[in-house]
Amino acid sequence: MRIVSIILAALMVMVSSAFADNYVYQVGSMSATGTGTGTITQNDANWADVTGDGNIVEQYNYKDAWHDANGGSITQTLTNGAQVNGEGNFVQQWNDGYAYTDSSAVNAVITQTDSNLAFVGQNYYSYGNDVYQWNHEEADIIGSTDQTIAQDLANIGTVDGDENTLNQNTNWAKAVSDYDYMSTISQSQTSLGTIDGWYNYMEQNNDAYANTYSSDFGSVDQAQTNIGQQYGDWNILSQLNDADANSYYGYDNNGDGFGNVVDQDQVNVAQMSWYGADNGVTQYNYANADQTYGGWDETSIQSQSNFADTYDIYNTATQNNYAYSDMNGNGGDFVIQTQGNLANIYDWTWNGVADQLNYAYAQTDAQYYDDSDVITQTENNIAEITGYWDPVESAYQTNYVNAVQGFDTSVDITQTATNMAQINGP
Amino acid sequence: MKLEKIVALLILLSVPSALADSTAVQTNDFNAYGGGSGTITQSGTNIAIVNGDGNYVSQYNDKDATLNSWGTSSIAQSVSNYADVYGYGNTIYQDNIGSAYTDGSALDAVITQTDTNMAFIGMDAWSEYNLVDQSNVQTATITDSAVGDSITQTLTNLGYVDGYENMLIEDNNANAVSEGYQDNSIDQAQTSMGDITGYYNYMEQGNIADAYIDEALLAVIDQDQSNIGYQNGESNSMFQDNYADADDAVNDAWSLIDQDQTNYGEQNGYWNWLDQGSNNAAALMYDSEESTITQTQTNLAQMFDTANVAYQDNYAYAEGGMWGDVVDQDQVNQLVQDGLSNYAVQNNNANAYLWTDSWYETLTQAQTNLADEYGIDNDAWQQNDATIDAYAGQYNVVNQAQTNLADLDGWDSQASQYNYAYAYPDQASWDGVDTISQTESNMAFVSDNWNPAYDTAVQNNYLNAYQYSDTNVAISQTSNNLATIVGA
Repeated sequence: MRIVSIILAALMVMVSSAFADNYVYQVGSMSATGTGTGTITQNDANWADVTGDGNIVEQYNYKDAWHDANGGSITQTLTNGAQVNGEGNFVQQWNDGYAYTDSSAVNAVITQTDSNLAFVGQNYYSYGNDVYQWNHEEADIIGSTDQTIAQDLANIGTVDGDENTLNQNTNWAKAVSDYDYMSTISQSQTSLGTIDGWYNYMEQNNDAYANTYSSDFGSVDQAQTNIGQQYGDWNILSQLNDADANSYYGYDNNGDGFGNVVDQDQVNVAQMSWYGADNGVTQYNYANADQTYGGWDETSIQSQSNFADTYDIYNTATQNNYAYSDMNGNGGDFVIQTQGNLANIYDWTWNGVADQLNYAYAQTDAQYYDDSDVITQTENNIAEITGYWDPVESAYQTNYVNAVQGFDTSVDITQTATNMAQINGP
Repeated sequence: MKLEKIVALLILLSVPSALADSTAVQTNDFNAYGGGSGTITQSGTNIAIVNGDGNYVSQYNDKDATLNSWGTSSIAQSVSNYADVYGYGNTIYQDNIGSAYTDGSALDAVITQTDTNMAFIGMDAWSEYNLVDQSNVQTATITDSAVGDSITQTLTNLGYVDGYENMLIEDNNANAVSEGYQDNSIDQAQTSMGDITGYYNYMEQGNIADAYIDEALLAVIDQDQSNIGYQNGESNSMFQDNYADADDAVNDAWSLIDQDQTNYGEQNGYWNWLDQGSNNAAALMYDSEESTITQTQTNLAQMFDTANVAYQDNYAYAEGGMWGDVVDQDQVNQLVQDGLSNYAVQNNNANAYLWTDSWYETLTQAQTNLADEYGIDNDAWQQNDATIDAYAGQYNVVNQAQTNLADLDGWDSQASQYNYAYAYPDQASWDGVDTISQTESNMAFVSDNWNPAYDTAVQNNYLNAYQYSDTNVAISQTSNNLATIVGA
């Protein structure tokens, strides 16, 4: 911490009574229950907006929709926002959206759209503010046919000013479909963290979770995009991104799933922009697609793209990227896994570091008696440094691709990789 | 932008290009494992490119495929490794590894490996003091009493160096092992080429091709290794060590080894040094029966232009087994000089050997040695040894032919040949009849358009047959010696 910041903090403590120490506590709760067919629609916008010094806001926003449906639909739309300017303010938000459909639902539909926005210190003079957000979105459907869950979660955090903190502690989207036939889950989560200014800190934990239990011919389509951007100087951004798309336990008498499809896309970007020095972006990115315990003729399509880009001087972008596809059951499964990794250091930079650990793992089975499975893996790894004036840069990439077919009587594995390390100097 | 940053940028801009020290490090690891029979296909391209000054690139590329198969299995691996450097004082390290393995009671298992390794350094005149170090290893293994297995390996290694005082080091290794029961085969082809242009550059290539079959009937090894070194420009150095080894070992019968090694060095330009200091071809059958070895080694060094030095050490070794094997060994050695003040040395050794206590084996050995001089003040030296060593055993047949030609058509040039053929079938006191047949043709031609030409051809030719303690000796020796001078 710079000496200026220490002095300012000390002064703030000493003369705290001089600041406006307002406090707002808000609980917003919304609940709807239906027992037949029909429609429930819930729209909600929750904002915590603070301008001034030394203020505190706490918000609890809760939304609940329950349907014992025979062909019903639930639509939830939530916007949760926190905006802070000034000095020494503190904002906490808990934002929950929950939708549930039970029993003999047919053609049930749940649609959830969630936007979580946090803006901290959007002018140059904002200093020492803290914002914490917990954002949850969950949709459950149990025991129906032809059901659909569509979920969109957008998490946007922006920090500017000096020594501010944003912690989007949990951005969590969960969709569960249980005991069903031909169900569909479509889930999209986009998280954007941007830092400008000096000595700011941002942390985002982004979880997307889509799961079918005991289903046949179900499909899970999941897309997660995670972007961490850095401007300014001496800032730190940390992102933990986890995407899980799973299909467990079949519906038939043997407990074997049949013909389920999981399609998962994860894009992770850690980027230092055109101006800004001594910044750090760290991302841990996990993409998991599991179809285990007795699946037949299942398909897993997984794509993970990881970009770590740095500009300017003394910036560091670190990424740990894991893509797992696990079909640890019976036979006739298909796994298609693609991972693209780019560590890129652009021109007009100096002493930049891009460090990537990329791991792709596909496993189809561990059964002794199973049928033929197919694994196709493709990986493109590029570490590139471009500089017009004598770059002193480092790009590190460690890339692993693994495919395992434990006890197949007929193995079919195809692996393709392109690895390129390139330095273009002046 | 903060003040510190502006200052840092100004300092950076004022510092010369020696500061350019960027680093790119890549580890690329591929693994595929199958617990049963089936197919694994792996293909990869690994590229390292540097254009600038003082940069460092390190790549480790590993590909591993394993099948624990119970039936028909197939692994196909295809890899291209590429390193390209321009600029000043850059370094590239590449480790490229391909490994394929099939275990268990595989039937008709197939491993196909294709590897292309390319390194280009300083392909413009301004590139200086760059280093590329490449290690390329390809391994294929099939184990455990397999039937009808086959391994096909193709390894191509290309190194090009231009510019000034650049360095390329390449270790290229292809290894195939089949431990089977019947009808197994290895087809291995390795081609390595080094090409230098520019000034004061250095290239080093170590090329190894190794094929091994154990405990098999009706096994086949087909091994081809071609090693080529080209030099242009001035004051460049190139070193190549080339080794081809085909072993059909332990209790084999009715098997075949066909081995071809070609070593070629060519020099143009001035004051270049080409050293193929170890061209080895070895084909072995330890205790086999009724098997065949066909081995051909061709060694050629050609020199054009001025004041170049070429050195070749060529060794062909074929070893027969226990009973009724046929070994056919051919070695052709040639030096060609057509320029000014070039100097070439060839040491050529063909050696055919029989396993102890072998019976009813047939050894046929032919060595051809040629020294051709066309320019001015060139020197060619050849030491040519052909040896057959059938240490013990009975009823073996040895046929040995050596042809030596020194041909001069220049001015003030020298060709010197020392030719030695030696056949030695046995030393056991109790053995049966062995047969030795030796033929040697020695020719020295000087045919000049200059008068006086001052050319010199020297040939020392020795022919030796030795049957130590046979109860019934059968030796036939035939020799033709011809010296001809035709003036202008």
